[in-house]
Amino acid sequence: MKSSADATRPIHWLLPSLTSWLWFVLVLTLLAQPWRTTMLASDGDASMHWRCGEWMLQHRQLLRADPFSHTRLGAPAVPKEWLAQITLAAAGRLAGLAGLAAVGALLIATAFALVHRQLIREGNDALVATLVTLLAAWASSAHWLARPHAFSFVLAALWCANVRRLDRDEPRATLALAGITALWVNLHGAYLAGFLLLGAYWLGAWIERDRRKLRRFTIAGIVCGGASMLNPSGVMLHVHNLGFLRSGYFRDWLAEYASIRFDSPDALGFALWLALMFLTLALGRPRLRAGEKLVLFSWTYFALFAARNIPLLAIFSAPILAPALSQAARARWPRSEQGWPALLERLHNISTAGRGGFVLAGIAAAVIVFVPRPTEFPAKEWPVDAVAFIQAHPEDFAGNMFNQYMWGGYLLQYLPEHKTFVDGRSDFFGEELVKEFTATAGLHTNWPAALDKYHVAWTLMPRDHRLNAALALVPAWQRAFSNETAVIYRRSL
Amino acid sequence: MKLRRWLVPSLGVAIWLAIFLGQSLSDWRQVLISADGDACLHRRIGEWMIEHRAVLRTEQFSHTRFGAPVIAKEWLSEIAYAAAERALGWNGAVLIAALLIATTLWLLHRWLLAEGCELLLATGLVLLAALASSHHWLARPHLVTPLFALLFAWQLRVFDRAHEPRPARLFLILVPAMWLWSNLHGAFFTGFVLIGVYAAGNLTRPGKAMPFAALGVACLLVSFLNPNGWRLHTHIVEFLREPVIAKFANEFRSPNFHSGAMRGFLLQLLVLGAVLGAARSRWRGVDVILVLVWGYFALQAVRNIPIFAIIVTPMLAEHWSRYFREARETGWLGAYRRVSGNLTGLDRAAGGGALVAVAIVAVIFAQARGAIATDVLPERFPVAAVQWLRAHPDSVRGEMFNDYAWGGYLMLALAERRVFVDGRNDFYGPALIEEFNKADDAAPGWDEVLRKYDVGWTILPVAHRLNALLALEAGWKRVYADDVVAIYSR
Repeated sequence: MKSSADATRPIHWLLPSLTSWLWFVLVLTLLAQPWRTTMLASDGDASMHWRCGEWMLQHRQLLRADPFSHTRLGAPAVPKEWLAQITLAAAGRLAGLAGLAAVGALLIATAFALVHRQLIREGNDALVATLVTLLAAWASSAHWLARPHAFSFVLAALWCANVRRLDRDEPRATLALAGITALWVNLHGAYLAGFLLLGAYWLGAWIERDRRKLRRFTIAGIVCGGASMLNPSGVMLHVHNLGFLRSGYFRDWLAEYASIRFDSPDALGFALWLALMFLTLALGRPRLRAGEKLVLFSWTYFALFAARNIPLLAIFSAPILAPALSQAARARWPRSEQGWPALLERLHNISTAGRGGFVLAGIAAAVIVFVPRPTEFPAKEWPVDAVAFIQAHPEDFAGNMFNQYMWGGYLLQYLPEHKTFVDGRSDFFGEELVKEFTATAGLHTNWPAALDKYHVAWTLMPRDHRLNAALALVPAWQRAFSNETAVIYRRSL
Repeated sequence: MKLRRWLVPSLGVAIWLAIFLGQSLSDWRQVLISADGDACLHRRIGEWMIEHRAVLRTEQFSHTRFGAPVIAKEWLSEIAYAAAERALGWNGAVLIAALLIATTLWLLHRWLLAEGCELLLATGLVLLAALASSHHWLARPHLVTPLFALLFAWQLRVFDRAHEPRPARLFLILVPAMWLWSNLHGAFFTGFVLIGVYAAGNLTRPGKAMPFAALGVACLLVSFLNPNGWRLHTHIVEFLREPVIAKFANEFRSPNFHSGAMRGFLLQLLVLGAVLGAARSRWRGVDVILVLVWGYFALQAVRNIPIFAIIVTPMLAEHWSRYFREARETGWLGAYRRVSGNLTGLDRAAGGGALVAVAIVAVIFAQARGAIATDVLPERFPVAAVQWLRAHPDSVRGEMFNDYAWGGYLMLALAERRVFVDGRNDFYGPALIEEFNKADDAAPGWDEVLRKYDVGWTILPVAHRLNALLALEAGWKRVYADDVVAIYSR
């Protein structure tokens, strides 16, 4: 291998590695349209997290009681993503929506750059590592959103690399895992995925009767379990998250917990990832360790079960698949000084020897700071004009609101003077309230009940929503605003 | 020995008997005809064709598309079901469905044994395929498709692997089968996909690829021998290319892995993953393509899962067999081999043909004597409401707006009235389906749809959202309600 020798040459301190290039291309792609808007406006949660973070920055305290909804005003809240929310809010303060987009872009690009770096460090072929990483990124792209879960992508990549270090008998990885845990529990609820991954390798060591590894994974689990208590809610965070995951109602009701629809174009990357897994196992026939097999099986199941697990499957399984593909690539194109193999050899050297990532990081920073990136919610999908109308006529909107679930986060941020009925924090609102919301929005037999119970004075729903059709037939309700996106109905006094 | 062979069932026949008797005698028979309204729909169409001694070519049953040209793509199945139902009532549909399902699984078992799979493994894998397919066990024409898919997949695989392939046998079996299939069910395209995969997988072997290509051409030509000729093919292609219609039907949706109905499919995927991880045996190119193609189709639409289950099962058998053959002899593996070996000896001496004959005759006899009563489930269909409408024909006037899933039932049980829509979404087309959706979803503009089609009354599930609007709308009143249904009349 030439790489280690090459790395000492001065030129390599200026030459970015392949990993850096991949990171750079992903950052620029995500900062460009349509991704910039897609990351923010696919649902209302980016705004919701921004608003929560902003509240915490303003009040210099964690959000422990709800200040945003009229249905659960003052109810205790578990601040499970407080650090991510504060980070997003700080970026929002600096650059508005573009700031949130920049955080999302940097996190997603960094996550897949880390995957690429791990594949290279584990000795995979550079071309294979790059293609596998790009496909992993594509498979995950349906969930590229500027929300706290983007932190989980980065931490999952770091966690996976360190669990595999532990699997290779590098005990110092335990400390790294503990540090990641302490960070992860404060950034996003998907830290539980890390424990599942660790559990799969632990079980693998148990199946293989490798006592030394078993002890190492056990110690890591205990240390990380202890580190997971380092959050503002302590053990209650775990109780809250596990309680939410056990709710069959929410698993079926929330879009991101649903199985991905393979008839949607968004699923193509995931379908190709599954095909890659099958092809690698059927044709490459790698000799996998028990833990690796368990990771593939369990995370394929999780990814089929809930679309939100697809990025984690891609991140966790990439290092398991890449060695077999690298072996196949090297068998097909043995190293030589000429032609295609020589190009691959050079690519490999660049990817391992380059130390000039800071050059690209500098360019990316300059792009983020100096290139104007107008970012806003599309008025065709979001109630932008309706909110302007409400703000222009404050005297007409005195009572409580009933709002579309997905618009809740947007309304928190852009109509802060009014309290919402519901927003994306379904775990906070709980099953009972979400069922009340659904009964009204779905025109169930008792649909007016929630409107009366919560003294709703006006509704803000999408134009074609069935609730508008019902309110149009009730004399006590009058249409106050309507455009191609939203309709407001107001109850007569 | 001969008598024993007739009387003692082999494991394959035991599977056949269990499935056939289980479906014919247990409550499963109600589910076979009540899972949606399509069993009723096909019965009604078949009945019409028997009555009129003609293939259905113009619409008779709906007011929204009355008189429009119809492509009767499943005419032969519909006549077969209707004829059985004339003789035995709903038991006739159950009889056909149970025969088709049991025979498909029995043939799959035979196929695995013919390829040298151990008896216990073959039985386990067939039961797994049954579990994966069971969500789509409904007394409808589509049950012929897994049977024909099995026949095609089996014969193509035998030809592909034969050292001395016999093209004449391949043509003699599959060309007539394709003719029958294209008159029985619209999914005969499955056969072309299978032939295409085998042709593509043998591109480097012209000696094999050419017969497959010729078979494809012959099957295509023979598939034109149906009442609609080539128009049947263009109709199906247009239907599959139309996302609005295809997504509207539940069976064309991607699997929801939260549902218990998908557990069998998940388990089969798990067993596939396990054999990939454990056996590490070499996969043939054609098999790899088949898994990729049918795996993708199954993930796209749940109705493809039974075909995937059938196609992947022989591959699972092949690789698990190799794994068990090459695996180190351990305690449990040794015990498994001993038990399997003993059972194989017994199974070879067994048959059970007499039991099959007795089972069929006994079931038909019991059905004909009325000892087994089968009817649609009243909690799933507006049975009492239909009786009330019959008793009070003047209580509703004008055209009907009905629940989509009830369309077939209403066509059959309330034949004197025409439905708004039923399960034939390919016939209704995207424009009408979207209009139906707007009204059914209670979206703004719902009333314009009802006015456009002169709807005078609605028959919908009692908690349906449109009922909430009709309760508020002046000029509409509820004339009937029970635990299942509410009828509103203008």
